[in-house]
Amino acid sequence: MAKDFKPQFNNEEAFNRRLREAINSTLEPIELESRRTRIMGQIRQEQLSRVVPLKPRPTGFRLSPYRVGGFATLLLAIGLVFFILLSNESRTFSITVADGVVQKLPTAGLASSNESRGAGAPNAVLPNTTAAATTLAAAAVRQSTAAATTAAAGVAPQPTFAPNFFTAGELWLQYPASQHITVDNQLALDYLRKLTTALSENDKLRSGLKEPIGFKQYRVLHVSGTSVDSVAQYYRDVATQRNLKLEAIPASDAGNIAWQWLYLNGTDARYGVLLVEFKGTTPNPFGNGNINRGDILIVIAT
Amino acid sequence: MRKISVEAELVAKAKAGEVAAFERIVMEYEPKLSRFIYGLVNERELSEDLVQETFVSAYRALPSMPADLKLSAWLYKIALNKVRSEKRKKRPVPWLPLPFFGQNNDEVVPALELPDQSADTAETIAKRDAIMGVLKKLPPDQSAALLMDTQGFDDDEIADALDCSIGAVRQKLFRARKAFKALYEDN
Repeated sequence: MAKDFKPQFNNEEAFNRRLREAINSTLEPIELESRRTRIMGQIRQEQLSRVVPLKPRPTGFRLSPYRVGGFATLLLAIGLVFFILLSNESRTFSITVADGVVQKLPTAGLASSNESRGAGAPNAVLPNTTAAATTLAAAAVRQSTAAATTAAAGVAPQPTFAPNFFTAGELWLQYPASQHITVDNQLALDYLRKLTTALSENDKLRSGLKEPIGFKQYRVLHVSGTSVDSVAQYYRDVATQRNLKLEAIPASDAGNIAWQWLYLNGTDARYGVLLVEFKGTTPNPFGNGNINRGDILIVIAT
Repeated sequence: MRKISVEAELVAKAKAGEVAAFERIVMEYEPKLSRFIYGLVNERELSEDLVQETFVSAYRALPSMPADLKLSAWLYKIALNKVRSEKRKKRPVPWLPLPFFGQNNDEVVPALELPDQSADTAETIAKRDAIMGVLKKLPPDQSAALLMDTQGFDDDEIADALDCSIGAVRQKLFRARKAFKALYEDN
Protein backbone atom coordinates (compact mmCIF):
# COMPACT_ATOMS: atom_id res chain seq x y z
CA MET A 1 0.00 0.00 0.00
CA ALA A 2 2.66 2.45 1.02
CA LYS A 3 4.87 1.56 -1.85
CA ASP A 4 2.67 3.60 -4.15
CA PHE A 5 3.59 6.88 -2.50
CA LYS A 6 6.94 5.86 -1.08
CA PRO A 7 9.33 8.58 -2.18
CA GLN A 8 12.60 7.80 -3.82
CA PHE A 9 15.30 9.92 -2.27
CA ASN A 10 18.55 10.69 -3.98
CA ASN A 11 20.02 12.71 -1.15
CA GLU A 12 19.28 13.85 2.36
CA GLU A 13 18.09 17.33 1.45
CA ALA A 14 15.67 16.03 -1.10
CA PHE A 15 14.35 13.55 1.42
CA ASN A 16 13.81 16.25 4.01
CA ARG A 17 11.96 18.43 1.50
CA ARG A 18 9.75 15.62 0.35
CA LEU A 19 9.04 14.60 3.94
CA ARG A 20 7.96 18.13 4.81
CA GLU A 21 5.69 18.20 1.80
CA ALA A 22 4.24 14.83 2.72
CA ILE A 23 3.50 15.84 6.31
CA ASN A 24 2.06 19.16 5.24
CA SER A 25 -0.14 17.59 2.64
CA THR A 26 -1.40 15.21 5.31
CA LEU A 27 -2.13 17.78 7.99
CA GLU A 28 -3.25 20.82 6.03
CA PRO A 29 -6.43 19.34 4.59
CA ILE A 30 -7.63 18.39 8.04
CA GLU A 31 -10.31 20.84 8.94
CA LEU A 32 -10.25 21.21 12.65
CA GLU A 33 -12.97 23.23 14.25
CA SER A 34 -11.84 26.65 15.28
CA ARG A 35 -12.24 27.10 18.99
CA ARG A 36 -11.54 30.80 18.80
CA THR A 37 -14.99 31.81 20.01
CA ARG A 38 -14.82 29.40 22.89
CA ILE A 39 -11.25 30.33 23.70
CA MET A 40 -12.02 34.03 23.77
CA GLY A 41 -15.14 33.43 25.82
CA GLN A 42 -13.04 31.66 28.38
CA ILE A 43 -10.38 34.36 28.21
CA ARG A 44 -12.94 37.05 28.91
CA GLN A 45 -14.22 35.10 31.87
CA GLU A 46 -10.65 34.75 33.07
CA GLN A 47 -10.18 38.45 32.77
CA LEU A 48 -13.33 39.21 34.71
CA SER A 49 -12.41 36.77 37.44
CA ARG A 50 -8.95 38.18 37.83
CA VAL A 51 -8.67 39.63 41.29
CA VAL A 52 -5.85 41.90 42.18
CA PRO A 53 -4.10 40.32 45.11
CA LEU A 54 -4.23 42.39 48.22
CA LYS A 55 -0.90 43.78 49.25
CA PRO A 56 0.00 43.44 52.87
CA ARG A 57 -0.64 46.62 54.71
CA PRO A 58 2.65 48.30 55.56
CA THR A 59 3.25 48.67 59.22
CA GLY A 60 5.51 51.71 58.96
CA PHE A 61 4.67 55.29 58.12
CA ARG A 62 2.01 55.44 55.48
CA LEU A 63 1.16 58.59 53.61
CA SER A 64 -2.56 58.32 53.19
CA PRO A 65 -4.59 60.90 51.28
CA TYR A 66 -6.00 62.12 54.58
CA ARG A 67 -2.54 62.73 55.93
CA VAL A 68 -1.53 64.52 52.76
CA GLY A 69 -4.57 66.74 53.15
CA GLY A 70 -3.67 67.39 56.77
CA PHE A 71 -0.13 68.36 55.91
CA ALA A 72 -1.36 70.63 53.15
CA THR A 73 -3.74 72.37 55.52
CA LEU A 74 -1.00 72.79 58.10
CA LEU A 75 1.38 74.28 55.53
CA LEU A 76 -1.36 76.60 54.30
CA ALA A 77 -2.03 77.79 57.83
CA ILE A 78 1.67 78.41 58.47
CA GLY A 79 1.93 80.28 55.16
CA LEU A 80 -1.08 82.39 56.07
CA VAL A 81 0.42 83.32 59.43
CA PHE A 82 3.69 84.34 57.77
CA PHE A 83 1.80 86.34 55.19
CA ILE A 84 -0.09 88.23 57.87
CA LEU A 85 3.09 88.87 59.80
CA LEU A 86 4.93 90.08 56.71
CA SER A 87 2.00 92.27 55.73
CA ASN A 88 2.14 93.97 59.11
CA GLU A 89 5.88 94.30 58.81
CA SER A 90 5.60 95.91 55.40
CA ARG A 91 3.57 98.72 56.87
CA THR A 92 6.82 100.14 58.21
CA PHE A 93 8.35 100.27 54.76
CA SER A 94 7.34 102.05 51.66
CA ILE A 95 8.05 101.50 48.03
CA THR A 96 8.95 104.36 45.83
CA VAL A 97 9.43 104.27 42.15
CA ALA A 98 12.65 105.61 40.79
CA ASP A 99 13.62 105.18 37.17
CA GLY A 100 11.91 101.84 37.16
CA VAL A 101 13.82 100.61 40.18
CA VAL A 102 11.79 99.84 43.24
CA GLN A 103 13.48 101.26 46.26
CA LYS A 104 12.68 100.50 49.81
CA LEU A 105 13.00 103.63 51.84
CA PRO A 106 13.17 103.58 55.58
CA THR A 107 10.43 105.14 57.60
CA ALA A 108 10.89 108.35 59.40
CA GLY A 109 11.68 106.43 62.51
CA LEU A 110 14.61 104.75 60.86
CA ALA A 111 16.13 107.97 59.57
CA SER A 112 17.91 110.58 61.58
CA SER A 113 17.18 114.26 61.53
CA ASN A 114 20.51 114.92 59.92
CA GLU A 115 19.87 112.51 57.13
CA SER A 116 19.84 114.18 53.80
CA ARG A 117 19.47 112.98 50.27
CA GLY A 118 22.89 113.46 48.81
CA ALA A 119 25.05 116.50 48.83
CA GLY A 120 22.27 118.67 47.57
CA ALA A 121 19.99 118.30 50.57
CA PRO A 122 18.47 121.58 51.63
CA ASN A 123 20.10 123.25 54.56
CA ALA A 124 17.16 125.44 55.37
CA VAL A 125 15.52 125.29 58.74
CA LEU A 126 12.75 122.77 58.95
CA PRO A 127 9.28 123.81 59.91
CA ASN A 128 8.61 123.62 63.60
CA THR A 129 6.59 120.53 63.34
CA THR A 130 8.96 118.66 61.12
CA ALA A 131 12.23 119.84 62.54
CA ALA A 132 11.78 117.54 65.43
CA ALA A 133 11.00 114.59 63.25
CA THR A 134 14.02 112.60 64.24
CA THR A 135 12.16 109.60 65.38
CA LEU A 136 9.05 107.73 64.52
CA ALA A 137 7.33 109.40 67.43
CA ALA A 138 8.34 112.76 66.12
CA ALA A 139 6.96 111.88 62.72
CA ALA A 140 3.72 110.85 64.32
CA VAL A 141 3.59 114.15 66.13
CA ARG A 142 4.06 115.89 62.83
CA GLN A 143 1.32 113.88 61.20
CA SER A 144 -1.07 114.59 64.00
CA THR A 145 -0.17 118.26 63.94
CA ALA A 146 -0.81 118.41 60.24
CA ALA A 147 -4.08 116.66 60.75
CA ALA A 148 -5.04 119.17 63.38
CA THR A 149 -4.14 121.98 61.01
CA THR A 150 -6.29 120.63 58.23
CA ALA A 151 -9.08 119.93 60.65
CA ALA A 152 -8.94 123.56 61.74
CA ALA A 153 -9.17 124.57 58.09
CA GLY A 154 -12.29 122.51 57.68
CA VAL A 155 -10.53 119.58 56.09
CA ALA A 156 -11.38 116.12 57.29
CA PRO A 157 -8.46 114.71 59.26
CA GLN A 158 -6.54 112.05 57.39
CA PRO A 159 -5.34 108.83 58.94
CA THR A 160 -1.99 109.33 60.60
CA PHE A 161 -0.78 105.80 59.90
CA ALA A 162 -0.35 106.57 56.26
CA PRO A 163 3.05 105.36 55.11
CA ASN A 164 5.67 108.02 54.90
CA PHE A 165 7.43 107.90 51.57
CA PHE A 166 9.81 110.69 52.44
CA THR A 167 12.92 110.55 54.44
CA ALA A 168 13.07 112.61 57.57
CA GLY A 169 14.87 115.36 55.72
CA GLU A 170 12.16 115.52 53.10
CA LEU A 171 9.11 115.46 55.27
CA TRP A 172 8.46 119.10 54.52
CA LEU A 173 7.72 118.11 50.92
CA GLN A 174 4.62 116.23 51.97
CA TYR A 175 1.63 118.47 52.04
CA PRO A 176 -0.12 118.09 55.39
CA ALA A 177 -2.94 115.53 55.40
CA SER A 178 -2.01 114.29 51.96
CA GLN A 179 -1.70 110.60 51.33
CA HIS A 180 0.62 108.64 49.14
CA ILE A 181 -0.51 106.86 46.07
CA THR A 182 1.67 104.14 44.72
CA VAL A 183 1.63 104.30 40.96
CA ASP A 184 3.62 102.76 38.22
CA ASN A 185 6.72 104.79 37.41
CA GLN A 186 5.99 104.78 33.71
CA LEU A 187 2.43 105.87 34.36
CA ALA A 188 3.63 108.82 36.40
CA LEU A 189 6.18 109.79 33.75
CA ASP A 190 3.63 109.59 30.99
CA TYR A 191 1.25 111.73 32.96
CA LEU A 192 3.87 114.30 33.72
CA ARG A 193 4.90 114.52 30.10
CA LYS A 194 1.31 114.91 29.05
CA LEU A 195 0.84 117.80 31.44
CA THR A 196 4.02 119.54 30.29
CA THR A 197 2.93 119.67 26.67
CA ALA A 198 0.96 122.85 27.42
CA LEU A 199 4.02 124.60 28.72
CA SER A 200 6.05 126.86 26.54
CA GLU A 201 9.54 125.84 25.70
CA ASN A 202 10.81 128.66 27.84
CA ASP A 203 8.73 127.48 30.79
CA LYS A 204 9.98 123.94 30.35
CA LEU A 205 13.51 125.16 30.31
CA ARG A 206 13.04 127.38 33.31
CA SER A 207 11.35 124.69 35.32
CA GLY A 208 13.75 122.00 34.26
CA LEU A 209 10.90 120.06 32.77
CA LYS A 210 12.07 120.05 29.24
CA GLU A 211 11.93 116.51 28.08
CA PRO A 212 13.42 114.24 28.94
CA ILE A 213 12.39 115.14 32.38
CA GLY A 214 15.46 115.39 34.48
CA PHE A 215 14.02 114.21 37.74
CA LYS A 216 14.91 110.82 39.08
CA GLN A 217 12.22 110.17 41.58
CA TYR A 218 8.53 110.82 41.85
CA ARG A 219 6.28 110.74 44.83
CA VAL A 220 2.59 110.95 44.25
CA LEU A 221 0.24 112.32 46.89
CA HIS A 222 -3.38 113.19 46.94
CA VAL A 223 -5.42 115.34 49.24
CA SER A 224 -9.11 116.10 49.53
CA GLY A 225 -11.07 119.11 50.66
CA THR A 226 -8.63 121.80 49.69
CA SER A 227 -7.77 123.91 46.68
CA VAL A 228 -4.81 124.20 44.37
CA ASP A 229 -4.18 127.70 45.70
CA SER A 230 -3.96 126.48 49.27
CA VAL A 231 -1.55 123.74 48.32
CA ALA A 232 0.52 126.12 46.22
CA GLN A 233 0.64 128.54 49.14
CA TYR A 234 1.97 125.80 51.38
CA TYR A 235 4.88 125.14 49.07
CA ARG A 236 5.57 128.86 48.77
CA ASP A 237 5.79 129.03 52.55
CA VAL A 238 8.11 126.06 52.93
CA ALA A 239 10.26 127.31 50.09
CA THR A 240 10.66 130.58 51.90
CA GLN A 241 11.49 128.80 55.17
CA ARG A 242 14.09 126.64 53.43
CA ASN A 243 15.60 129.46 51.38
CA LEU A 244 14.52 127.93 48.15
CA LYS A 245 13.71 129.99 45.11
CA LEU A 246 10.21 129.23 43.91
CA GLU A 247 9.07 129.55 40.34
CA ALA A 248 5.40 129.13 39.62
CA ILE A 249 4.50 128.24 36.09
CA PRO A 250 1.19 129.84 35.09
CA ALA A 251 -1.67 127.48 35.83
CA SER A 252 -3.38 125.62 33.04
CA ASP A 253 -7.01 124.63 32.90
CA ALA A 254 -8.41 121.94 30.61
CA GLY A 255 -11.92 122.01 31.99
CA ASN A 256 -11.89 118.66 33.66
CA ILE A 257 -8.54 119.24 35.29
CA ALA A 258 -6.45 122.26 36.20
CA TRP A 259 -2.79 122.03 36.98
CA GLN A 260 0.15 124.12 37.94
CA TRP A 261 3.83 123.47 38.10
CA LEU A 262 5.92 124.84 40.92
CA TYR A 263 9.65 124.68 40.80
CA LEU A 264 11.68 124.92 43.97
CA ASN A 265 15.30 125.56 43.26
CA GLY A 266 18.02 125.46 45.88
CA THR A 267 21.75 125.73 45.68
CA ASP A 268 22.25 122.02 45.41
CA ALA A 269 18.74 120.64 45.07
CA ARG A 270 15.68 121.21 43.03
CA TYR A 271 12.15 120.00 43.39
CA GLY A 272 9.28 120.02 40.95
CA VAL A 273 5.81 120.09 42.36
CA LEU A 274 2.88 119.43 40.07
CA LEU A 275 -0.53 120.23 41.43
CA VAL A 276 -3.49 118.83 39.57
CA GLU A 277 -7.07 119.53 40.51
CA PHE A 278 -9.61 117.01 39.27
CA LYS A 279 -12.77 118.92 38.58
CA GLY A 280 -14.64 116.42 36.51
CA THR A 281 -15.57 112.80 36.73
CA THR A 282 -13.41 111.74 33.83
CA PRO A 283 -11.52 108.58 34.72
CA ASN A 284 -7.94 109.38 35.57
CA PRO A 285 -4.93 107.19 35.24
CA PHE A 286 -4.55 106.92 38.98
CA GLY A 287 -7.83 105.18 39.45
CA ASN A 288 -11.03 106.66 40.72
CA GLY A 289 -10.49 104.87 43.98
CA ASN A 290 -7.46 107.06 44.61
CA ILE A 291 -8.35 110.29 42.93
CA ASN A 292 -11.94 111.44 43.04
CA ARG A 293 -13.67 114.56 41.92
CA GLY A 294 -12.37 117.56 43.78
CA ASP A 295 -9.19 115.86 44.88
CA ILE A 296 -5.81 117.43 44.39
CA LEU A 297 -3.01 115.33 42.99
CA ILE A 298 0.48 116.33 44.07
CA VAL A 299 3.38 114.93 42.12
CA ILE A 300 6.71 115.74 43.68
CA ALA A 301 9.69 115.21 41.45
CA THR A 302 13.16 115.21 42.94
CA MET B 1 11.64 42.64 11.54
CA ARG B 2 8.26 44.25 11.17
CA LYS B 3 6.50 41.02 12.06
CA ILE B 4 8.61 40.77 15.19
CA SER B 5 7.83 44.32 16.20
CA VAL B 6 4.11 43.80 15.57
CA GLU B 7 4.23 40.60 17.56
CA ALA B 8 6.10 42.30 20.39
CA GLU B 9 3.48 45.03 20.41
CA LEU B 10 0.72 42.42 20.55
CA VAL B 11 2.45 40.64 23.40
CA ALA B 12 2.87 43.90 25.30
CA LYS B 13 -0.79 44.74 24.90
CA ALA B 14 -1.91 41.26 25.81
CA LYS B 15 0.35 41.35 28.85
CA ALA B 16 -1.39 44.54 29.86
CA GLY B 17 -4.69 42.68 29.73
CA GLU B 18 -5.94 43.82 26.35
CA VAL B 19 -8.23 41.01 25.21
CA ALA B 20 -8.35 42.19 21.61
CA ALA B 21 -4.59 41.80 21.32
CA PHE B 22 -4.76 38.30 22.68
CA GLU B 23 -7.53 37.47 20.23
CA ARG B 24 -5.23 38.49 17.40
CA ILE B 25 -2.63 36.12 18.76
CA VAL B 26 -5.23 33.36 18.85
CA MET B 27 -6.24 34.12 15.27
CA GLU B 28 -2.63 33.99 14.17
CA TYR B 29 -1.55 30.83 15.92
CA GLU B 30 -4.65 28.67 16.28
CA PRO B 31 -4.47 26.99 12.85
CA LYS B 32 -0.75 26.19 13.15
CA LEU B 33 -1.04 24.94 16.71
CA SER B 34 -4.06 22.84 15.78
CA ARG B 35 -2.14 21.02 13.08
CA PHE B 36 0.88 20.68 15.32
CA ILE B 37 -1.13 19.14 18.13
CA TYR B 38 -3.16 17.00 15.78
CA GLY B 39 0.06 15.67 14.37
CA LEU B 40 1.10 14.65 17.88
CA VAL B 41 -2.15 13.21 19.23
CA ASN B 42 -3.90 12.25 16.03
CA GLU B 43 -7.30 12.88 17.58
CA ARG B 44 -9.46 15.64 16.31
CA GLU B 45 -11.46 16.50 19.39
CA LEU B 46 -8.52 16.07 21.72
CA SER B 47 -6.35 18.34 19.61
CA GLU B 48 -9.07 21.00 19.66
CA ASP B 49 -9.32 20.72 23.43
CA LEU B 50 -5.59 20.95 23.84
CA VAL B 51 -5.41 24.00 21.59
CA GLN B 52 -7.99 25.66 23.78
CA GLU B 53 -6.14 24.71 26.94
CA THR B 54 -2.90 25.96 25.43
CA PHE B 55 -4.28 29.43 24.80
CA VAL B 56 -5.96 29.67 28.17
CA SER B 57 -2.75 28.66 29.91
CA ALA B 58 -0.85 31.15 27.80
CA TYR B 59 -3.23 33.93 28.76
CA ARG B 60 -2.82 33.11 32.43
CA ALA B 61 0.96 32.99 32.26
CA LEU B 62 1.47 35.90 29.91
CA PRO B 63 1.60 38.70 32.54
CA SER B 64 4.58 37.05 34.22
CA MET B 65 6.50 36.54 31.00
CA PRO B 66 9.44 38.78 30.02
CA ALA B 67 8.90 41.58 27.54
CA ASP B 68 11.20 39.96 24.97
CA LEU B 69 9.15 36.80 24.90
CA LYS B 70 9.48 34.64 21.77
CA LEU B 71 5.80 34.12 21.40
CA SER B 72 5.67 31.32 18.85
CA ALA B 73 8.26 29.13 20.56
CA TRP B 74 6.57 29.76 23.88
CA LEU B 75 3.14 28.79 22.57
CA TYR B 76 4.51 25.58 21.02
CA LYS B 77 6.25 24.77 24.27
CA ILE B 78 2.95 25.11 26.16
CA ALA B 79 1.20 22.99 23.56
CA LEU B 80 3.86 20.30 23.76
CA ASN B 81 3.57 20.24 27.54
CA LYS B 82 -0.19 19.85 27.18
CA VAL B 83 0.33 16.92 24.86
CA ARG B 84 2.86 15.31 27.17
CA SER B 85 0.66 15.67 30.19
CA GLU B 86 -2.30 14.39 28.20
CA LYS B 87 -0.37 11.30 27.24
CA ARG B 88 0.51 10.71 30.87
CA LYS B 89 -3.11 10.82 31.89
CA LYS B 90 -4.05 7.46 30.42
CA ARG B 91 -7.13 8.82 28.81
CA PRO B 92 -9.94 6.38 28.23
CA VAL B 93 -9.86 4.69 24.88
CA PRO B 94 -11.77 6.79 22.38
CA TRP B 95 -15.07 5.49 21.16
CA LEU B 96 -14.59 3.01 18.36
CA PRO B 97 -17.04 1.38 16.10
CA LEU B 98 -18.11 -2.05 17.26
CA PRO B 99 -16.18 -4.06 14.63
CA PHE B 100 -12.86 -2.65 15.84
CA PHE B 101 -13.19 -3.60 19.50
CA GLY B 102 -10.43 -5.88 20.58
CA GLN B 103 -7.99 -4.65 17.93
CA ASN B 104 -4.84 -2.61 18.38
CA ASN B 105 -5.85 1.03 18.69
CA ASP B 106 -2.54 2.26 17.32
CA GLU B 107 -3.32 0.82 13.96
CA VAL B 108 -6.96 1.70 13.56
CA VAL B 109 -7.53 4.98 15.44
CA PRO B 110 -5.74 7.31 13.05
CA ALA B 111 -7.90 6.34 10.12
CA LEU B 112 -11.07 6.53 12.19
CA GLU B 113 -10.23 9.88 13.69
CA LEU B 114 -9.58 11.63 10.44
CA PRO B 115 -12.27 13.97 9.25
CA ASP B 116 -14.52 13.34 6.35
CA GLN B 117 -12.55 11.14 4.10
CA SER B 118 -15.32 10.19 1.73
CA ALA B 119 -13.96 12.41 -0.98
CA ASP B 120 -10.38 11.20 -0.61
CA THR B 121 -8.92 8.61 -2.86
CA ALA B 122 -7.67 5.34 -1.49
CA GLU B 123 -4.11 6.40 -2.22
CA THR B 124 -4.48 9.62 -0.27
CA ILE B 125 -6.00 7.82 2.65
CA ALA B 126 -3.25 5.25 2.64
CA LYS B 127 -0.59 7.96 2.50
CA ARG B 128 -2.20 9.88 5.34
CA ASP B 129 -2.55 6.77 7.47
CA ALA B 130 1.06 5.86 6.94
CA ILE B 131 2.37 9.32 7.86
CA MET B 132 0.13 9.66 10.91
CA GLY B 133 1.09 6.17 12.01
CA VAL B 134 4.80 7.01 11.79
CA LEU B 135 4.32 10.26 13.67
CA LYS B 136 2.41 8.49 16.36
CA LYS B 137 5.14 5.91 16.88
CA LEU B 138 7.88 8.48 17.21
CA PRO B 139 8.83 9.82 20.64
CA PRO B 140 6.89 13.07 21.26
CA ASP B 141 9.96 15.28 21.17
CA GLN B 142 11.04 13.90 17.82
CA SER B 143 7.52 14.26 16.41
CA ALA B 144 7.31 17.79 17.75
CA ALA B 145 10.68 18.73 16.26
CA LEU B 146 9.71 17.27 12.91
CA LEU B 147 6.31 18.97 12.89
CA MET B 148 7.82 22.34 13.81
CA ASP B 149 10.48 21.87 11.15
CA THR B 150 7.71 21.16 8.68
CA GLN B 151 5.95 24.38 9.68
CA GLY B 152 9.10 26.33 8.90
CA PHE B 153 10.60 26.88 12.32
CA ASP B 154 14.36 27.32 12.61
CA ASP B 155 16.43 24.99 14.72
CA ASP B 156 16.89 27.61 17.43
CA GLU B 157 13.14 28.23 17.63
CA ILE B 158 12.56 24.50 17.96
CA ALA B 159 15.24 24.39 20.62
CA ASP B 160 13.41 27.11 22.55
CA ALA B 161 10.15 25.22 22.36
CA LEU B 162 11.67 21.89 23.31
CA ASP B 163 13.93 23.37 25.96
CA CYS B 164 17.04 21.83 24.55
CA SER B 165 20.11 22.80 22.61
CA ILE B 166 20.23 23.29 18.86
CA GLY B 167 22.49 20.25 18.62
CA ALA B 168 19.87 18.20 20.40
CA VAL B 169 17.24 19.48 17.99
CA ARG B 170 19.32 18.44 15.00
CA GLN B 171 19.80 15.05 16.56
CA LYS B 172 16.05 14.66 17.15
CA LEU B 173 15.33 15.71 13.60
CA PHE B 174 17.92 13.31 12.28
CA ARG B 175 16.45 10.44 14.25
CA ALA B 176 12.90 11.34 13.31
CA ARG B 177 13.76 11.44 9.62
CA LYS B 178 15.71 8.23 9.92
CA ALA B 179 12.75 6.57 11.62
CA PHE B 180 10.50 7.89 8.90
CA LYS B 181 12.80 6.54 6.22
CA ALA B 182 12.95 3.22 7.95
CA LEU B 183 9.20 3.08 8.40
CA TYR B 184 8.71 3.98 4.75
CA GLU B 185 11.01 1.23 3.77
CA ASP B 186 9.23 -1.17 6.11
CA ASN B 187 5.98 -0.23 4.46
